[in-house]
Amino acid sequence: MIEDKLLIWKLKLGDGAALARIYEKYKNDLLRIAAGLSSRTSVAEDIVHDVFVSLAQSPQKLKLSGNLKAYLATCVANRVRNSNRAGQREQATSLDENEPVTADSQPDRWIIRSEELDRLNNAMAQLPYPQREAVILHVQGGMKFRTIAKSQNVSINTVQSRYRYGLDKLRSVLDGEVKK
Amino acid sequence: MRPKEDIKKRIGSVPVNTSAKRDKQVLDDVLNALEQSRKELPVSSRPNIWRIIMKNNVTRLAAAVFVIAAVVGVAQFDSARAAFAGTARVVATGLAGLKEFIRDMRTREPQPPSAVVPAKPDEQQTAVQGNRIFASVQVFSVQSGQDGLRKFFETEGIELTPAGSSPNTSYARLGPEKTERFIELVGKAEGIERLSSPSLMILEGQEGVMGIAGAGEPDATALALVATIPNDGDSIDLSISFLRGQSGFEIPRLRINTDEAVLFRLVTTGPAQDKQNDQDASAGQGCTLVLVKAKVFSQT
Repeated sequence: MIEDKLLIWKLKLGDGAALARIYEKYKNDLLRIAAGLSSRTSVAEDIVHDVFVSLAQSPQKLKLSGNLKAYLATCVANRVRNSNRAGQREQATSLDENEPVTADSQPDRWIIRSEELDRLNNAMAQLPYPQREAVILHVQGGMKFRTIAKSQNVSINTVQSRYRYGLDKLRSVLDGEVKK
Repeated sequence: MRPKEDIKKRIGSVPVNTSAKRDKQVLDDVLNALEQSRKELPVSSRPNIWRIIMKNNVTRLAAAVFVIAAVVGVAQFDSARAAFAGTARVVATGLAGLKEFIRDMRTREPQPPSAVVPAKPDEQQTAVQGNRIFASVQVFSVQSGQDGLRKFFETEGIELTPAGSSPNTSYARLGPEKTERFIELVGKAEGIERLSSPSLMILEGQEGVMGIAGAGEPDATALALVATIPNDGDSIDLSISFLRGQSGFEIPRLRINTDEAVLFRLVTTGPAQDKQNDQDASAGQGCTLVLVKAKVFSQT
């Protein structure tokens, strides 16, 4: 965490190396979170791209009270939520997700898809969005329930319930896949 | 059914691989955005390091601790700087008065020590506003096995009065001659080292605090001093508190003549051992000696 504080301080001074380090450190985590929340790889990539660009455009406005990863994860979640509200995401899966995708067939893709990632994201897509967000932000984003509750403007009990139900449902979905 | 922990582990560890080509493109976009923001940012709005520190409670506290530690460190371990700081304080309140005080200390005739006057709750204090008391403190570290100090106490007939057990402290009042001889002793004796010489100018009735070093102890010891002037005008009542870590004690209203000094001995061992033989303890064990002088400096 001290490294993050130092990186933010340097970033506010306009240090590109600090920004590159933040990018390298957290891009995979943010892509995983975005992919899990949006269920569409292209949207997830755009969102993470925009989060980093936004961070670079106004580092002075960065007011960080917790840890940097949680802050960036919240930015990703907010953008996914806005994207959903704007109707940019109309269904859980889209054509590009159903097609067999490889790095070669889609050379411009940022995320190189894997069977494991697809399986998990498909299972995630079957959860109601609030449950999905609670599970992903807590497990993948490393955020505390209190922080998630604050960002979603709901009670901590609500977030814990969503997390519990979401995890149970995810488990049954993944178990169902195994049985098949 | 998979246990919950397995699911959590699986979600958290799913690998994400990225295209190196796209990685570079995105990073270029991000760095370009940063460069653009730097060009557009007015110089005045760039972050001020001091402001960043002071905005955050933790960093602000850390900065305060650092400054205090630096000041205390200078006061405790650099006697020259401590003396300078004390002198600067005195200069601020009047150099002429200080000269008068020093001249008075040098020319005053020796007087026999008077008895310690215990505190009397009903005793009326004059509490004259505007009196200033100049308190000078000298702190010495005494190594264990220092024999000269024991002989000095025996020769001068100095008996130490127990004052408190945490830190383990006893004291004696020294007249001007004894004080002078004590200063001579510590100046030439091996195994006795002057650690610092802080001084304070305090208003009558107000508390002054200074840090004094402990004898080979990691914890610093603080000394708080409150001085009042009784009606007779020739003496000073000192209330002296010692604080080490979370423990401490107070010697309330110790009356001394204006030309006297009080010598405190702080032993690093426990109280049980110290009670066996107070005099032997001073010779056989390492300790810290603190010599306190006080003088009515001015009256406004």
